[in-house]
Amino acid sequence: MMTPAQNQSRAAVTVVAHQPAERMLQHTGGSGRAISVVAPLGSGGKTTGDHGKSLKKIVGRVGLYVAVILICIYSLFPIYWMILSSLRPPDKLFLDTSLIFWPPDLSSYKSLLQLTNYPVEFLNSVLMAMATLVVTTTLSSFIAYGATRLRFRGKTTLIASMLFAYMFPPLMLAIPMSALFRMIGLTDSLWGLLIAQLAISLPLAVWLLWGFFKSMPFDLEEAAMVDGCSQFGAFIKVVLPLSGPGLITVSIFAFLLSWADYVFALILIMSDDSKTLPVGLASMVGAQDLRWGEILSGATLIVLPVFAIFMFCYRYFVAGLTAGALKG
Amino acid sequence: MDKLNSSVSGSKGSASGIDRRRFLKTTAGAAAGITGSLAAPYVNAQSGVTLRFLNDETTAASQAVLRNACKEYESKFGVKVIIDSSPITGMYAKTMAAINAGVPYDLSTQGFIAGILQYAAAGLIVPLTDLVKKYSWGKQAAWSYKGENWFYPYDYNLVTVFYRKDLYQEKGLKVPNTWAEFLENCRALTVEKDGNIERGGCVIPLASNSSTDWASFGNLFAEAPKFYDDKWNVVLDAPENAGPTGRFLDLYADLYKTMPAGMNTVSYAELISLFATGKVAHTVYSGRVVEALETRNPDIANKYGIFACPDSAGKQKALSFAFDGFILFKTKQTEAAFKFLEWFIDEHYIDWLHSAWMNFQPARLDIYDDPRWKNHPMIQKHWATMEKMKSFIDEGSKTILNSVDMTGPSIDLRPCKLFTANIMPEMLQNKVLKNMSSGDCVKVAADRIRKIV
Amino acid sequence: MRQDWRIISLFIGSVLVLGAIVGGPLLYSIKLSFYTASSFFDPPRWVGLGNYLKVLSESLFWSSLLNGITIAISAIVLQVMLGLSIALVLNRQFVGQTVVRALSILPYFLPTVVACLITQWILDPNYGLLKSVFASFGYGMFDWSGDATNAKATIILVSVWLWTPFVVTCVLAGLQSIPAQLYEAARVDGASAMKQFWHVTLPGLRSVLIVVILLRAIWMFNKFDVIWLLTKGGPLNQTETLTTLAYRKAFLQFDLGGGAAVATVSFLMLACIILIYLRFFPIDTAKQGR
Repeated sequence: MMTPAQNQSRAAVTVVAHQPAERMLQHTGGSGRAISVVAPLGSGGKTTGDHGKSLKKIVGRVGLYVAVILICIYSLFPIYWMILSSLRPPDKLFLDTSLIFWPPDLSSYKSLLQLTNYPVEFLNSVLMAMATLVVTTTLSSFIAYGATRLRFRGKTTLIASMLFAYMFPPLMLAIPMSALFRMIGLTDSLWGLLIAQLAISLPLAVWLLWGFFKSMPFDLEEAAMVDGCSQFGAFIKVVLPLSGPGLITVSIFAFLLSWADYVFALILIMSDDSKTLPVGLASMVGAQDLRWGEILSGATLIVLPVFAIFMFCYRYFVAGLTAGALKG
Repeated sequence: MDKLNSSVSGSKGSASGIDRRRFLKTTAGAAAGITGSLAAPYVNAQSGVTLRFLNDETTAASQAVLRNACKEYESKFGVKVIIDSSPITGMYAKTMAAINAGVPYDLSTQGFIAGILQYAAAGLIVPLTDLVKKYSWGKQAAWSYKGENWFYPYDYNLVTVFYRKDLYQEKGLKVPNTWAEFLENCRALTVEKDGNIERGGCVIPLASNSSTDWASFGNLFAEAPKFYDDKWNVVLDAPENAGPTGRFLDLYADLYKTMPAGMNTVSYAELISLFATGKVAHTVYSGRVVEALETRNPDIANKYGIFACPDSAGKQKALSFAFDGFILFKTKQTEAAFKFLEWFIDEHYIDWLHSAWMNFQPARLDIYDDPRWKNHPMIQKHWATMEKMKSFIDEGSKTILNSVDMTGPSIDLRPCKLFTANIMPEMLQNKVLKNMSSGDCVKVAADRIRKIV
Repeated sequence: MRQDWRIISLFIGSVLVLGAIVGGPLLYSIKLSFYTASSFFDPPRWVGLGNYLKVLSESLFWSSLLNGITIAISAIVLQVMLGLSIALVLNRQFVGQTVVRALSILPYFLPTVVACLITQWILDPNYGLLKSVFASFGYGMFDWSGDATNAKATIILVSVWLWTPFVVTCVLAGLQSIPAQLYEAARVDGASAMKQFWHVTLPGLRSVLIVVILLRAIWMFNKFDVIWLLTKGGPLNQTETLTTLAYRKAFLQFDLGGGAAVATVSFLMLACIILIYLRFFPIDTAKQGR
């Protein structure tokens, strides 16, 4: 019953994942150069110097830049507004809507750190994200490598079943987990949360790395093995160093999945001391005192690490995104 | 362990001796049941001396008092108390989830009778009758169910109407005695600008959570329709009750037009912040409004007044209300939790009350004469308000005190189900968001109540 | 190639871990859906299809299904239209192209919680930015949470803002695979820009779009966090979807069996929809050349 769907949806993601992702990564200069190959619609080409045409061209250019500016505003303004509001003095927060002001006021941040449980939640989130990153990257590279290099039946089924992770309603994992964890004493525990987050990140990571290992020529390892290296040695010394881009992409997305996870943390964690940032922040909205300044500064602090990684690893973000590595 | 026992009960005299015995009896069976059927109660199994306390007083000051007390208790008696705090709207779910997950809390604060009765009926909590009997309490505070007190109250949360004296003076208004006068005042104080309500006449919550059950029905209770007859048949839609309830819905719909936008999500926090920022002329809440005014807008703190909700004809007044108090769950360590509670009440009750000096309107009558409590500078400053609030809970008070979870001929589980099922908030929503006729709203609500009781 | 026992054992071990943490809960979820726990302490009781029959007989289930479909379809249509337009703009050459491309996908990496909090702050009916903007033009602020249409629209718009970058990035990548000669040929034939779009660009993007729409549909249909954070299914259950319903049943009404049944049914329905979709839009991998 499921087999045709499996094959088809496997093919589905292949289309998105494996060509653009690899192409993006292989392009040394990032994506800027890659795209210029394609002749853009209607522009460029032979201009005849005709007056009407050059006017049309100027209008086209102006239109293009207007569109670009609109896209920037659309994408960035909400984020800008969040940061701006978090830096506004609390007594002006509800009254002032100016788009720019000086000096910034850090009192919302101070009271966030002093009055709420934010530091503990931050620590929990870092802990979860790092653990998810390490375990996901390690296990998925073993599985993906084995799936490309070992000879056994059912390889296709294994990889296709990874894709089914795309289809699970999150509650279909969260409901049984909450019941199972009760039996094994992992209720309200960060260990339980780690398991849940791994259940989401692992299949995606396997899928992503599988593509990498598959496209990597076997000759390299074989050459190393001819030189007396074991297969394991070749994996550690040759394959892993060469799959740097793939491993970085997987790490980033494992980190992000855990860092942004709201559903599992909401369901599996109860104590304040084990809460992670997304749930901690969301519960500030329902409290008796409405503190938008603190809420927005907390939101800004969640986003900062993501932006920092984003700035340095942009091309891996694009690669992972096209491969569908982050559910959204 | 025995040493600890004697030192604690020694300081306390006779009371705890009785309790101890009783606890051993009531808890042993329950604890065995709970721990037996829910495999591996993780925290409990670790040690006998870690208590879990679920707290719904989320302000920084109240949390600080609890934290300090727990630190002191741990250093004195070696019993660790872990505190979890949750907004009051999430308390029931969180408590049940913890029990369900096999890591029940040992004690908690509790803001609604609905929760307490449901826990009591399910055998999840233990009675505190002897502890309660030691003091005299304000009106209705020492209520019992099945002959026991299940709950040690620390405060009343009477939902009074807060109004702006300065605005009343400006417009020459007087404190309303009827629904019509109240509506008129709200309309007179509404300021519209550019199609927005710049200042709302009033704010009365509408969201599907406990804030609405708690705060929105004072005017209905003043009219005193019956929800049930003496045998718990639902009679809300019988003509003599459907009439006043329907008229109340009409009143709410009229008031709704004077409220600022976004009422559907308005909850506890907004009831306060809208009033404190001058965005509404009336709000409904307990004394916490005064605390917020003092910290956020001291100017208004000198210009507010309170009154009780009137009925349609000007014959009587009513207040919707709730208590807050402590409950003790049946766990393996109920005895240790009981000791902690007793100690906390002896040593930190006043600190605790001071952490929300106006919101924690004492339920124990002796507190009102206790200089340690009374001499708090802010309580002194707002003494007139406090006295008025106290007048509502004196035995002789004529003001009706009622609550959605206490409607009916006696304290009972049935209205509590009505409370947690959000039937009353949805009755209001049907009226103002779906524009159903008042009669239909009452009929729908009554049918739903019948289904669950 | 020789098979190394260390590689084999690490592989098998990792697969077992993965199987246990994903497969275990899934099977248990299906098992749970056949049981009911009438109180917290009684052992669960086998009810066969009882949970399913009960769930399917509730009108709330069907209205939730409808809400989920409405929200998912509207969000996808908007995401694809907007994503295509943005990608076509960003595909042109202009100063700062790389930076703008990076900035345009930034929202995708924002935690959902943050996006929802920003939305609530901007739309706050009393203190929000939008209220001030409306007021400065002399209009009243709408009540985004009090009305079913507005609440749904808000959920859809936040979803569109957050997840359109996925479409943008995939379409940008897809545009590269369209051979430049096709455009040349079209121009020689005198095709206008519009015609080039319809006859070269869109067909060239067909396979990418089919997949993008499929993935976005699956994720939107399963969405929980946006809806829960913004409306909790309100007002009056009018933005309830199957996912929030499953949560409500399992964790607010403590009916694990009912919640598991809702989740399973929604999974099965999704699988059916995907099969039908793939029948109409088969994904032709051969054509993709890899």
